[in-house]
Amino acid sequence: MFPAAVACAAMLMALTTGCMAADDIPPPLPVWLTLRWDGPQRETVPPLILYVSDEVLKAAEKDAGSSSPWTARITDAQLQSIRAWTEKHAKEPQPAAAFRLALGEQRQVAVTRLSRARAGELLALLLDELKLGEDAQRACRRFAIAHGLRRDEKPM
Amino acid sequence: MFARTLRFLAVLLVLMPCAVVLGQAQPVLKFDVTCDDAKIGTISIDVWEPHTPTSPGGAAGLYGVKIQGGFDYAPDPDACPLDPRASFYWIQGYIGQPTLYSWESVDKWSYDRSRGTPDTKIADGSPFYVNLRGPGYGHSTLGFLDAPRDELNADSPIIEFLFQTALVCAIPGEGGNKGSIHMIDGFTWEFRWVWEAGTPTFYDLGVQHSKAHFGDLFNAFMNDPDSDTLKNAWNLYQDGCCCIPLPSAVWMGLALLGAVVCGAPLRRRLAA
Repeated sequence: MFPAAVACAAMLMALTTGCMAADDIPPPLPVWLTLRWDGPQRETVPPLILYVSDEVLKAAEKDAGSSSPWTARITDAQLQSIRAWTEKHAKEPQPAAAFRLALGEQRQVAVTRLSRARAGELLALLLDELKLGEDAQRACRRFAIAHGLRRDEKPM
Repeated sequence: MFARTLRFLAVLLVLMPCAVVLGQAQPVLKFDVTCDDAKIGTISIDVWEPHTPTSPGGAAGLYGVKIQGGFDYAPDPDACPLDPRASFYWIQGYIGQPTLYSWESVDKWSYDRSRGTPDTKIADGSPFYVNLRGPGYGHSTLGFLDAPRDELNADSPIIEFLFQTALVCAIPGEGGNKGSIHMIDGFTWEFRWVWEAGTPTFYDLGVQHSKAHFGDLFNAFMNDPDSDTLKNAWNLYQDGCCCIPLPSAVWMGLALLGAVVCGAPLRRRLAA
């Protein structure tokens, strides 16, 4: 009786731990980001592409529709900060003509549409708060200026 | 057996070049760019295709075209020397419908730069087309990509445009003077989308080597509402190619010759 009860308890514990472990698995983390204008256009402004490793760059370029001179590496932590910012705004009404922000995980892409004002806020986060590397700073600044989301730069 | 092997080799010899040719993407358009009758490089258009909501980078309800290519600077030995301050860019104008900005008109050429707020103001304060201002898309000097697009539906049943793109060289102004932009060569491209009985239909009107609308592009530059970015900051010319003016080149050559001729006896005297 006793060994059976111990075995049963052990099995129950293992099952519970297993379930908890499954619950504790965090959702997949994004590994790249693309940002581009998603409305009517004449001139085609290159997209902004930020990625965490060379292996995921092709997937990001495929999502963006082309390669871009405004492509740069950022860190995992910086991309997680961007995701946290995005999640705060994901439930807002989605504007029709808007910027398209895509966060790519290994197997899926989460798309959020951002109004001009929100896109400006995202660029402010990228440029003023996240302490991006020099290349990423330059890429974000060029994208922001090309769309008129920043004005504090000299003409190019 | 021998005959069969021979026949197999013969078929292989015929098919192999075909496979090589089919495997290589041929440019849609390719032409030499000349300056003062000497070749300075090549413009190629590699992609010319309808752009739809399902195209890479496409968006719901938006239709247009995708055009991609670039310029490769490869001057012949007899080409004039390029001014070291000069850089190559694209500039572009268009006419058609629907209009995008408040100041546009369907029967007038517009200067193609993205606008900010207000929509008369060029967003980045530059006269040059933004995609690209450097190498890219397989081209060593200057890549080019555009995918103009608009809503196509029963309420907005026609999209039609004619574009003139120009390769330019530009020398920035110094000491408060205007910079100069020279239109060297170019291409035109044209398309139409029509919403017919609930179905989008594409009419390909082609891409060709042409400077036919350089005058219209010049007028769009001069009449643009953002004169501070364009005509007040730059002089636009429909010819020229940023060569070093002949007298300077001649003087530089003479100076170099003088240094060589006078330097030799001096070196000999110093050595003695």
